[in-house]
Amino acid sequence: MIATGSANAVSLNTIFPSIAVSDAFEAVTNGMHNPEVLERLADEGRESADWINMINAIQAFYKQDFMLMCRWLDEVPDDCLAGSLKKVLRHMSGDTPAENLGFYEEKLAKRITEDSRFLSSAIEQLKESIEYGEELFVETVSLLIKEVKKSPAAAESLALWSFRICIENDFDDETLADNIIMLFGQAEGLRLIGLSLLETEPESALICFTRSLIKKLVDRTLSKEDAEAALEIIGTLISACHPDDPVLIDISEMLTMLESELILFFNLGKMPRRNDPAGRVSAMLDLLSGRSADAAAEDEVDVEYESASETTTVTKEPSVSIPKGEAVQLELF
Amino acid sequence: MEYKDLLEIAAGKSNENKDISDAVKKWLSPPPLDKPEELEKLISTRYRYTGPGKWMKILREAAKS
Repeated sequence: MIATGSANAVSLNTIFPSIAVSDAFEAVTNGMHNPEVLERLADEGRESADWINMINAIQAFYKQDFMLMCRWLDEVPDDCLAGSLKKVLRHMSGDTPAENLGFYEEKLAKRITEDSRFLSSAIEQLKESIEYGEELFVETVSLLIKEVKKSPAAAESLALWSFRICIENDFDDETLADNIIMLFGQAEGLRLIGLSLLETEPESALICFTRSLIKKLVDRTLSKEDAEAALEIIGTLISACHPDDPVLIDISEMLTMLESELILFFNLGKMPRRNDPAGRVSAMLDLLSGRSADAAAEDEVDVEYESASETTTVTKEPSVSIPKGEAVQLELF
Repeated sequence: MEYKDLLEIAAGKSNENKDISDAVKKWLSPPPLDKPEELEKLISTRYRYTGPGKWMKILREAAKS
C-alpha cells in the first residue's frame, strides 16, 4: 500500500479507481511488474484501462524501451488523470523540453534521470581504499555490500570480487570472512567463502561447502535437489584431493554430522556404511536420490532418533552420539 | 563432474556441453565482478526507482486543478 497520511487518503481514493490499480502503480515505481495482474485490471473499466496503459508505459520507460513507452502513452487520453504523467515521461525519454514541465514534474524527472552519483562515488572510494590496506578496504567493501544487498546477485558478486582483491593484495581476509557471514548469514556466507576459495584453496572450499550444507539442513532451508547438488560438489572436491591430504581426516566428522542431518531432514532411513570420504558422499547421494534402497538394506548404519531428547545415535561402527539441530550448529559454527 | 568443471562454472563460463544441473550452477554462482564498475550495470536502475511518492505529487497537483 502507498504510505500516506490521513490528509492524503482522500486524494489517493480520487486518483486511483481501485486499490489494485494503486498497488500496481506502487509496484512499477518500485521496480516490480506483474503483467498478468495488469491484464486482469484492464478489464475493470475505462479508467482502470487508462491507468494500466500508463503503468505499462512507466515500465517500458524504466526498461529504456522508449518506442514501446510511446505506444503505451498513445493509448492514454491527455485529459484523464493518468494522462497527466505523459508529459514527464516524454520529457525523461528526451522528447519534451524541460521548460514545459511543472515544478514537481521537473523534480521527478531530475531525480530519475540523474546519474546514480552515490554508487559511482562509492565505487571510487572502494578502489581508493585498496591502496590504504586491508582494514579500510574491508570496511569500505562491507558497507557497500550492505548497501546493495537488495540486489542479492550484485552483492554476492561484489563479495566474491572482494575476496579476490584480498588474495591479489596479500590482505588478511579473516575480518572480511566474518563480515560476509554477518551480512549473508552463516549458510550463504560459508557458501560464498567456499566459492571464493575454490581455485586457490580447494581443501578449505571443501570444508566451507560441507559446513554450508549442514547449516542449510539444520536451518531447514534446502530442497532435495539443492542437497544433491551440494553433495556432487563436495564429492568432486574430495575426489580432487590427494589421498593423504589431512583435510580428508578433518572432513570425516563433518560427514558424520552431514549423514545424520540428511537422514533427519529427508527422512531417509538407513545410511549405507562406507569408510572413505568419497564413498560416504557417494552413498549419501545414492540414498538421497533413491538409487541405493536395496543395497542399503544389506550394508547400513542404523540411526535412531530421539526427538524428545534432541539426540541422534549412530549405533553401529563408528558408535558415536551426535547432537542434533541447534546443538550441531553450535559445535560446527 | 570434475574439479575443472567447478572452476569453469564458478567463473561464469558456459558448460552447455556438460550434463550439469541448474542446482549445481546455483551453488557455484554468481561469478565475481571483474571490476567494481560492473556494479553500476547490475544495480543502478534500482537507484532510479523512486517509489510512488514522487509521482503522486504530480498526480495530486493534477487532481486539484
